[in-house]
Amino acid sequence: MPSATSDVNPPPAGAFLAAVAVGKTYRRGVTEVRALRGATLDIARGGVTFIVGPSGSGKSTLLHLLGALDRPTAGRVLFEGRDLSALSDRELSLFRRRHVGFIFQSFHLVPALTATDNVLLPRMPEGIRDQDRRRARDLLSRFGLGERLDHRPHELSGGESQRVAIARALLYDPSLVLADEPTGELDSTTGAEVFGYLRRAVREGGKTLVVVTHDTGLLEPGDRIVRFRDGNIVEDSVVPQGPPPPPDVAGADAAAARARA
Amino acid sequence: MLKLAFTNLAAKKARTLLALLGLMIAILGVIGLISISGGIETLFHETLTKVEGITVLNKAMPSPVMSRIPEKDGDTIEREVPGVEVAIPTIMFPAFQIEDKNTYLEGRIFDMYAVIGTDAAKRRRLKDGGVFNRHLLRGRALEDRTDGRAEVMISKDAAAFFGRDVGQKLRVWKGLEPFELEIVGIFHTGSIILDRQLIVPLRFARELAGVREGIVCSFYVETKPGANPAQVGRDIEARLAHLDARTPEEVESEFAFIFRDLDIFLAAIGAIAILVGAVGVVNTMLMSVTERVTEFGVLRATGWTRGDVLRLVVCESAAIGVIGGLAGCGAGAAIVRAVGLFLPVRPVATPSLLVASFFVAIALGVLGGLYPAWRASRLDPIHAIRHI
Repeated sequence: MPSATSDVNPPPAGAFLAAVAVGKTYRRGVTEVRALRGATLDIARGGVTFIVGPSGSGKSTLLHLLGALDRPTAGRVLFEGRDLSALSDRELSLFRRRHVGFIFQSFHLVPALTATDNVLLPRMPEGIRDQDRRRARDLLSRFGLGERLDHRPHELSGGESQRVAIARALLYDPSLVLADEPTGELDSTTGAEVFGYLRRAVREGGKTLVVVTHDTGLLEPGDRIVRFRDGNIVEDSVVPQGPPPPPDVAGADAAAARARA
Repeated sequence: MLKLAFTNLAAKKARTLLALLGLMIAILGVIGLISISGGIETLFHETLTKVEGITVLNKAMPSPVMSRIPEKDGDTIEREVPGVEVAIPTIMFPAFQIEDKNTYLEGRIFDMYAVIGTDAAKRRRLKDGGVFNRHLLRGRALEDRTDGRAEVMISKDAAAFFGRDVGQKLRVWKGLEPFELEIVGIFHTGSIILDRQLIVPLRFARELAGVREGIVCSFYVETKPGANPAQVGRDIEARLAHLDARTPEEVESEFAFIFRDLDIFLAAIGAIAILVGAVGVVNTMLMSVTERVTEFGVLRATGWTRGDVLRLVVCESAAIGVIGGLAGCGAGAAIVRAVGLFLPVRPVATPSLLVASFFVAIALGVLGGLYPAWRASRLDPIHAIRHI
């Protein structure tokens, strides 16, 4: 059982973000789905980590756990040494607000709001100040959307929408950015372009980026790759210096992703 | 957050409008019912304050129409009860058939007429000649020597309703037997009860109503200046134990009893209207919340707490309450005013009624939004985001 392994693998001191023997079991109708089976992972501050693997291997579930959007049914998630499972629902919400930026595959912008207001969405409960509005506009301008500030989602292309979503994730200047298939609904050129914006913003801000993807065309030398299968980590490596990405990664998964797009 | 709430409402115009309409109609209904009830009450109050005097009738009878008492009781009252200025003998006859109209069947509730036989000579002793003489528009009052003659004073309303004027005849039926009355005067008191009375000499009413000599229905007693009508009433009842002396205050408190029942009835209808409005709000917000599951998931992911989501949805439905309330109050005030032009009852939408209705609308919005808001706030963010 995963709970037994948590004693075997104590959390490394000083890790920025750590999943310690996390398990996640949920019900879908009458069947019980074991999405994660005791995965352990440390993520250092800064840098880009890709989580890859076939559909249903537990990638997204891990991402949700790392971002405090969900609680593990076994094991722990530690953020700067703090056990997130000890936090109440409200504390988790505030934690996400301050420290985590989420980016989703289908952008998930609020259709009725302008680009600027969508970026300001995380700020709305506390009340929007002028400086927040300025920051939202700055972010959008940095992502090449200076002319699109008052456009609504239906007036934006997919690439533009995802850039708005990235700006929204960065509004509170979080130290952790989590992206779930951020290019999954974009063609490869647009996907690469949008991901370039994200990678640049993360690097300049010294943030930590964790990406779940099928799109291995996004990999760059020095990126970490964590491969999942059946709810567990089966490979943990770093993209070597030199142009061609590992052939097994660039192969079937990426082709499948493109075929779907 | 308010901005997001309004933007969300504006994004679904048709649905928001329907919810607003539902709430507006509910508020409108409440305002309409209460103001009509208030209008009827005002009408009776005005009518009774115009009457001023004490009505003396047989204690065993609910209404002067059915009451029979000795005419000499009037002399006893005038002579022996202190503070009495005059006691006017009165005989009432409900005039079911006037001209070719059955006023109780064909007319509206406010078109039911009664023939009132009165003593013209004694009426002159009333303050300012009594309510009818005081409000004489044209023609003349009944004269002292005309007792027994077939003449009648009618109201402006009656003149219009029957299409008759001074100098013309008005035919009142007693069963199959017609009685021709000459119209001598037209008055307008403004009270729908007094304006439905046909004022005739006592002896003629006696013949019409078939009341024996020496018997009358009731007395209309006016007190001397400075006398306390309530005390005079008690003294009359003490002196003549078979009589019931009703002061305007007593009659009004009896009506107040009826109005309490009426108000309960209207409140029940109003409550149904409000319930329907509330169901509309709940339905709209539930639909809206169900449709926006993904949006709530994203809000939660970006750091909104359950409380924040709850507040957002309640804000939206409170906004429906505020706007629906304003629209309902506005439309209510306008329609009540318009209805007043066509009915003898003057329904009045008082400022306090409008303000109260407005707050009811807001309360409906907030309460109607609570359950959908609670549902939205309980959504599991993971499930919500995957729900596409």
